[in-house]
Amino acid sequence: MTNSLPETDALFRPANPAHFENKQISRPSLSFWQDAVLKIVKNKMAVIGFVLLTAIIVLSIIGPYLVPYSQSEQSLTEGNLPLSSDHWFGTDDLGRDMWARIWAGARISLIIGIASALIDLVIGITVGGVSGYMAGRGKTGDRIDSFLMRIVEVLYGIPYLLVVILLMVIMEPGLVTMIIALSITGWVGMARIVRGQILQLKQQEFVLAAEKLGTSHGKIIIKHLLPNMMGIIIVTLTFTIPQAIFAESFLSFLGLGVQAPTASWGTMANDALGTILSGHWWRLFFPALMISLTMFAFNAFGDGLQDALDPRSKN
Amino acid sequence: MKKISLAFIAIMLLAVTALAGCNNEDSASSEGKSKKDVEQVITANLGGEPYTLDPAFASDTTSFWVINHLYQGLYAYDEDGEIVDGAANKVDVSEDGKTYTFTIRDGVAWSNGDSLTAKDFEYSWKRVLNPETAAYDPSQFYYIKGAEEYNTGKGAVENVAITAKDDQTLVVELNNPVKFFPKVVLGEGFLPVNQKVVEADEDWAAEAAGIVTNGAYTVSEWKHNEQLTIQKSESFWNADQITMDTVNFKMIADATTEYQMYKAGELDLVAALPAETVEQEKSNEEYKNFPSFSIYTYTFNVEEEPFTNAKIRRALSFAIDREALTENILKGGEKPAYGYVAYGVESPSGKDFRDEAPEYFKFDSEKAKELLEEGLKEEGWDKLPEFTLKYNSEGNHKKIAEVLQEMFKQNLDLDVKIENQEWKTYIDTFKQKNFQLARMGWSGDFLDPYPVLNLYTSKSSSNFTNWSNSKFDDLIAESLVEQDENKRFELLHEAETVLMEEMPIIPILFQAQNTLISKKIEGIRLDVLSKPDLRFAEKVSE
Repeated sequence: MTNSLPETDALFRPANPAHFENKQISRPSLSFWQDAVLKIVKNKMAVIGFVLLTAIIVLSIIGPYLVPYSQSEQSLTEGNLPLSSDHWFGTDDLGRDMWARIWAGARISLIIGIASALIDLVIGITVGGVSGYMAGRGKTGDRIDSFLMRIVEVLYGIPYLLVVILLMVIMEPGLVTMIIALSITGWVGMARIVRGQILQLKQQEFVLAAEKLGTSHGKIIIKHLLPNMMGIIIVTLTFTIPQAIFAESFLSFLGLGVQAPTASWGTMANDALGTILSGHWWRLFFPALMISLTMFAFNAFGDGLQDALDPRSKN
Repeated sequence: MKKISLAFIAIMLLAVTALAGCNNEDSASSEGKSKKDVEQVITANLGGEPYTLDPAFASDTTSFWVINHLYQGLYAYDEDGEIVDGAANKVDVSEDGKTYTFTIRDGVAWSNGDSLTAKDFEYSWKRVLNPETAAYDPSQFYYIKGAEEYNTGKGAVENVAITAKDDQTLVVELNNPVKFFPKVVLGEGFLPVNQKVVEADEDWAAEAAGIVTNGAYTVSEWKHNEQLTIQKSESFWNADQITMDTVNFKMIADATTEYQMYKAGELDLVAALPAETVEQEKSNEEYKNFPSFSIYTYTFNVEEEPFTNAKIRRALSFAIDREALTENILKGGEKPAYGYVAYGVESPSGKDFRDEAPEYFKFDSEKAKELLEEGLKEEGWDKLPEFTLKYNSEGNHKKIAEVLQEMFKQNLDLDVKIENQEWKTYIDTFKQKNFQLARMGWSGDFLDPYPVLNLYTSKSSSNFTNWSNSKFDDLIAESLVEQDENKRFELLHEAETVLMEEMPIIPILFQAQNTLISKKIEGIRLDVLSKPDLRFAEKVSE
């Protein structure tokens, strides 16, 4: 007897797996971050921004070691040399290598940008978080909220340049002073954004649930509320960093920033102002180019991040 | 932020195109016209509104430039820069050198027709000394008997020995037989003003219509913050000698704009060329470099560590390669300073005061290290306490400060901090002696070693070093009364030697003026003490 399917079983046939496909979910299940990365990669401007940014960071680390000159070393007989194989970006009026100075300046810019962004982050989240969370929690809560928000408003109302200049007069000009000066008023924007987000999020059920289960206030803010607004915080950061970098360049340009012999893009641009008349264009061009490129890179990347991290844009 | 980055790119593009347009040359002058057909007008830039045109209150080179064309004192400069008789045509000096009798010329007049008399001088000089006038610098009159007492409120005006015996005779008695008194009298503070005019309206010098002058020019138009026009004065006794009829002073503050206007033919003269353009203009035949009687120094506060020790102060001086600074960085005709008094003073021997003296120091890093070590040993320090070098943000000072910082690092292995302040703040910091080492420049009031050396005596109100040396003070005081010019210069040389051995200041360089004068103009006289003299200029072509 051959073992074959009985004719009468014609009603039952092996299923063709190809038929299942139309039932499959059209979009792969991705985590929030995987989704964000995908969106960024699709955004050309964001990719350009990211590549530029990476290049600037890498060169700020290794750039100065690629040439045999230090950023402060002068060679008075070799002033204002144009671009050459010895001096890739030329030299300045005191015979200092522009390439070495540009990347030393990049370090200063990045340190200031990242440090002041981190300080903004910590102070802004703390103040904004506490303020937003306490709002509407009885008399004490409202008081804490309005107290913190009044501080924010007062700081917001003082022109930041004035604060910076006053501080520079009291303290010794330099990198640390600059970071402090930029952070004193810089965090208020972050605090406002965080507070707004918390006010919105805390109305939701999971917060109510956590509260009813007896979770402490601090834990609710850190474990439940903050992760839900990470996206917007990161986006704010990518806009804070270029602001700080620009502020540093601007203050150094005015002579209030880092002091010689440390190079900074702002001071380099300031030193080169007269070259409009003398024709040593590279001395103004490269610092200006670097400031512009960095601003562009951060902004383009930040824009991309904003689109990618916004949970409402699902396209 | 994006907008700002775009703006930067835009500026860069503009800058590049501007560079391309820099070299347009003035079209060749039209030929065939004789000098007499050419209208004698010159246009120069003052750089801003003059602070005042009243000689008693003027303190700045901007005001002085106009004032020197409007008024004439007892002495004057001729077209070669020699000191000649001015409003006075006879000067008698008493045998003891203490009494000067000036005889005012016949027929000298004010531009309003009043005749100029000795009484005008008496009035003008006493006006400066009057404490109520609050004039800019009455101290330049202190050589005159009774002047200091009156000015400081300790004496009466009657005791001031400035007397108009009659309309033509002015007698002045001095405390000491000061040999260089004529040079002092050439100062702007000694210029006369018209008593009637001043007493009628104390704001007489504020508008063109009110200004009455006794010199080569009168003010014909004064558009504030825009242009000041002066016209040759027909009532000036020496009007025949004055070749330039009209001078237009523009008031453009920005040096770059001034330079570009010159290039476009709108100005005939740039008195102070922007440093960045000096190099490319050097080959231009219109470029002129001229020394100026001024010294660029770094000043120590000798009561602030580590500069309490003279050897340490001198070590820094030996560590500076001044030639590299002037030849490679500044390139504007500045001279390295190996002494304190600037070039330009002729000594009785006929040589320049500077050339008579030895070079008090030179660039020698070995010697610098030696001195530093000896200094450290004397003070009992292991290493030099930290110090900060201060400078004001304007002009070339930053460049020079950065070069010094690097030279101290290379040659003495010192990490020096540098700090800048904007001029008004800086001058306060400096006067409060709130520094260890700070930049300062001086120009002499008149062409003699005395006024610049005198700055560092213990009594001097311009000595901010805290340095006080009785030997130096004595030598300066002796030189003031010494009648023999040879001996006087010896004393001044000796004083300079003391100053350089103790070194409360480091001389860095002697400054220079860089000018552009149009080919169309001849006869402009450059001066080591002041801005160009335009009186004897002549426009030779349109």
